[in-house]
Amino acid sequence: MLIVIVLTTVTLITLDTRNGRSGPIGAIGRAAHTVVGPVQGLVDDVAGPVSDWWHGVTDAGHLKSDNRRLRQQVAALQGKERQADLAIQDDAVLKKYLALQNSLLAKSATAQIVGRDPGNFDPTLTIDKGTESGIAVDMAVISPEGLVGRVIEVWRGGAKVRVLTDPTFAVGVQTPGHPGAPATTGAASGQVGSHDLIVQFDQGTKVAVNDVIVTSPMSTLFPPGIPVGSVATVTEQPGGTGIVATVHPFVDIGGLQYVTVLEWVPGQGPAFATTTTTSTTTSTLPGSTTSTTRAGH
Amino acid sequence: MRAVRLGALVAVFVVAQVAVFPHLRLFGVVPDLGLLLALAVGYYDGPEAGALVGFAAGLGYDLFLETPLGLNALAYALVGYAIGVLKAGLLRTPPWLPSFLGAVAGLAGGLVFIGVAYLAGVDSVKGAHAVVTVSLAAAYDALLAPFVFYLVARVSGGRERVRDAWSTQ
Repeated sequence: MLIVIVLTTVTLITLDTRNGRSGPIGAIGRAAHTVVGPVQGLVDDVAGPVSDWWHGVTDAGHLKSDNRRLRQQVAALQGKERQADLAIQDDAVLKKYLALQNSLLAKSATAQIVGRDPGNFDPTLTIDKGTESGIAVDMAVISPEGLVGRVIEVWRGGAKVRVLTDPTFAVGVQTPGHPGAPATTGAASGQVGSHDLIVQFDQGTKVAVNDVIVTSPMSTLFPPGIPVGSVATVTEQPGGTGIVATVHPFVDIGGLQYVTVLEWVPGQGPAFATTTTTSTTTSTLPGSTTSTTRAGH
Repeated sequence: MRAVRLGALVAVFVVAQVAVFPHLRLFGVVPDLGLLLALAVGYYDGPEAGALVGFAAGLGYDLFLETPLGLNALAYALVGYAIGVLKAGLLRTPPWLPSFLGAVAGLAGGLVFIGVAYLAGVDSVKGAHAVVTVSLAAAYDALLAPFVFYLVARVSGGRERVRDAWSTQ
């Protein structure tokens, strides 16, 4: 009996590693998600307050220090917000010329997160919208704070999102320009055991702490200009082989309730809305709040 | 009839694992409910039943994970089988035995998972962080093990098994 089980599991592991979840195995997985998805949604609604209480109990040691840190951040952000109000007026004029406009005009689907990290080595989110909403594999997932991840599996009634802090996640990013140094692109990826991203730049690139990193216009997988995070540390590699920056994501994955899936087809660009609708998108960058009302086509 | 009840218990445990326990993380980790189920069934019903229940519970859990399908099924089945074999050598069943077995099984199952996942090229299990995660999950397993043993004894056995689950001999 044990030998049969071991051989079966080894075969499954081999098939899954080589072929992924595209065949019958993937179909069974998607069927399981379809069945359990409503239960997850129901449990999520009921468990919200219980989960908050549980985290309050288990994280009590961190709450006081978190509170102090957040008060300091609020004070700093209020100061920045006043400056940002002026910048927002200019921003509204400039935005229509930016590629970011394309991503905001693309059709999108806002979905609720009904499941997260079912395992200890599986940093994913499960959302309550899938193929019926036009969501497909590889589409970008964002929140008002910035990039969340990308869709890796989709079924009717739900989809699974790989978050940007996953070690297997990678995204092309761009630094802001500095006086005498143009904007530079690099590839950001998650790290094992860390919530920060790591980006490798060429030697000589001007990168500073607190620089805002956005998705690169060179990226074929993600729309350009989506905020990713801010630079936390910059380290020169020994021997002048390059610069490594750690980037703290703007998005707090643990605090997300809803996300927006951009119907951006990798390599092809956005799928534009085809019906006449009016919607409001609110995007929040650290220290600023922008609301854009637009009409679709 | 007992097989049907155990099958239902496997389904309930898988749903609880993917829908409930992500909300009840302790030190940032979730427990391995399927592993505890395989452990308890292996303890009461022998190695083959433990392996079979471990395989079913692990495979059900694997369907919801991005790690290769079969990883948890293999780890849980091996643990369920091993406890069934080792049970024969136990002379006493002190009250802390379920917790002790839960911790040891959690650690062993977690290390099997990490080892095979590493060979399969899973990036997220590389480094010391993975061992820390498995150790914390094993501690969580130890806390839940007595309840799972009691539940399995109720579902698959009679009064004697329930008494045995809380035995102080």
